[in-house]
Amino acid sequence: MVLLVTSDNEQFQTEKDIVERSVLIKNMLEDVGESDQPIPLPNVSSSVLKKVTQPSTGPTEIDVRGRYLSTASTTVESPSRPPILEQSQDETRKRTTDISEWDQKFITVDQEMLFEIILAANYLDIKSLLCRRWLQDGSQHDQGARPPEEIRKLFNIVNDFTPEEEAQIKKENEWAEDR
Amino acid sequence: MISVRNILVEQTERTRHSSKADIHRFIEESELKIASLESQISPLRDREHSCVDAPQRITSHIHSLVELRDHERSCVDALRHIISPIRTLPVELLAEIFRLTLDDPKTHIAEAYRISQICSDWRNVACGNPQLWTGPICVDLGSEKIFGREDLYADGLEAWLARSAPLSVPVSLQLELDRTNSDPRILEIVLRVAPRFRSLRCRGVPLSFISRLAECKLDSLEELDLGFVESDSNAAEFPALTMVPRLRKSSIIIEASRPHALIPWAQLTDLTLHCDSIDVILDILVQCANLTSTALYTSEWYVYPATAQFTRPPLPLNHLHTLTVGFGRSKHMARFLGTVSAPALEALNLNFFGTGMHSVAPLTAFLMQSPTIARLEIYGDYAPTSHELIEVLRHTVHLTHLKLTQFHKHSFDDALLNALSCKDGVAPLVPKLHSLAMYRIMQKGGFTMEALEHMLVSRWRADPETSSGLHAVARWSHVELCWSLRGPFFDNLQRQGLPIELMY
Repeated sequence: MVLLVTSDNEQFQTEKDIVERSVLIKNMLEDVGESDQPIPLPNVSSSVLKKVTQPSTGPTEIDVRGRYLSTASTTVESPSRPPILEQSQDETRKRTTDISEWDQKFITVDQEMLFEIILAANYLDIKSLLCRRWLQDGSQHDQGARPPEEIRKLFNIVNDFTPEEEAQIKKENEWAEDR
Repeated sequence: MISVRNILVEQTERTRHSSKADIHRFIEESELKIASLESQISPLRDREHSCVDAPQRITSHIHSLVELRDHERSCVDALRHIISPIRTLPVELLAEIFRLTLDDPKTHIAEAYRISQICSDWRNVACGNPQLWTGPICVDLGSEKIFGREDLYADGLEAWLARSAPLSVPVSLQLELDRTNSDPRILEIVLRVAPRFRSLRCRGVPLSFISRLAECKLDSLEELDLGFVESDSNAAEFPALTMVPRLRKSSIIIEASRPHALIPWAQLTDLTLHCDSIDVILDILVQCANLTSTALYTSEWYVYPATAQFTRPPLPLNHLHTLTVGFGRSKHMARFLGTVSAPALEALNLNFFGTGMHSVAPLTAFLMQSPTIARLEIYGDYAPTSHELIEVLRHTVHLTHLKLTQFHKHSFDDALLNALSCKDGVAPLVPKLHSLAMYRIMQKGGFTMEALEHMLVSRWRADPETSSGLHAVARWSHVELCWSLRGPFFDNLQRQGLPIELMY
């Protein structure tokens, strides 16, 4: 077991094979060797660390891709392992093929936590938790793309292009479009 | 006209020293203002609609109120944007997430453009990261994408390629002789980035294009797939690609009677070569001292006659660990195996798609010189007979993985299964074998289900410590059977705990 101390001074006893998915912690453990000394994580709060290291059990737990599962998603099995253990993209794909519907509100409701987790994942160096798929359509098709307008709406991003710039941007895309 | 950008700048300036709570308060104040303006606009609109000749004064008053309301709405949007959690992501992390989003080669162009049209901040991040624009580019001069709008395509392609500078890019080119002549600008654009090609895959390119390519400094090129190169009248005899210091992997189709591109064979570690002459293949292999992986094919149709009388010196490929051969003539296989040796070989793939071997003696002789083969794949209707296979497998004692595909009854029968079965006190063939795959195996008249089951179960139940006397027998780690074996047979094996699955 490894003892982790979060930014708000909470202590977590966590299994070594779980925390070693973090390249940062793995390197620390290798440098320090076998030791009872706690590992300080000054950039990770206890609430975020819980999400990253503990098995998903409740309806608001984060899934392998950083999404929150809906209470209504009855066809979705809660991940049996903590998201930190989910490394393989193939595995992730397999897992998502059975998913019929994601909660449309997962980002709007819990965005602050989502981005805290992304920041923590970056700090801890856990690539699998850098959830790129929030740029993609979570509702129906795994590979579907969210339209720009939807991305703006989800993240409160203001479209600050002038109409001329928008037209120019649209035009630069045309060469690659199928007809 | 409201300038969203100006409002964003204004609000950013306004909230420079404000807390998040302050900004939430500003939003609430603005929303109250909006509600108040709405309550003023609504009755005025009613009055405007009820009067046939609405006084100009009412209309202009509505107009000014609507402007105020829209301005306030834009302020609210800007304030929400300022406190949105996504803005807590550092630019480098946002760029990394963008990069992960663009990992699908089929959609990366559309995705890159999508990201760059969200807002100016995202666009700056995207355009400031050349790596985001280094996905594979496929230029197909015969495609509908280009036809009739060559200039638009050329401009777009040029702009796209410019964004990835100075990084290297994988490029795929599909040319047609007539289009090459009629549409030179696109080709010029592609050739201009030749020093940045990381990989180049060509289809239908004429030899004259290879000559032009040979004049370029291909400093970044690591992989080159030339496919079939068409002869054209402008072509030099044998264009030589010499300025390719990083090239390690190449694939090429050569017709012995026609000029072809010359590649610095000696620096290749991976070569796929289709050729109608076994002599040309061997001539090239003589120059490939550093190969670690190669796939060699001759056609099952017309093939250049081999110079059977010409005796070649032995050709050792000392670094080769993966070899795939598919020869259209049994003489080619015998000639190749009799000439080449690969002492470090780990994986051997044999394709018997068009012809078999008159004798497996050259193969067994070859295997005796390659004692470390762990993976063997045999494919084709003309695979050796089961008795020959048993003889072959006797020389692969370190085999751990075996894959058999498209076997007929003469190759896969109970005799082979019996030899592979574990019996008390007798070492079975390939005792270290733990992974077996069988696809499209013809059962009719060949093997029996009982023999197959016995072979699989006997090796599963074998005690690695004590069984088989001389050799410890590995247990299955993975078994793949063809779909036709589904049903009670398969279910029974699964119940016994074998790590087994069915494949189409």
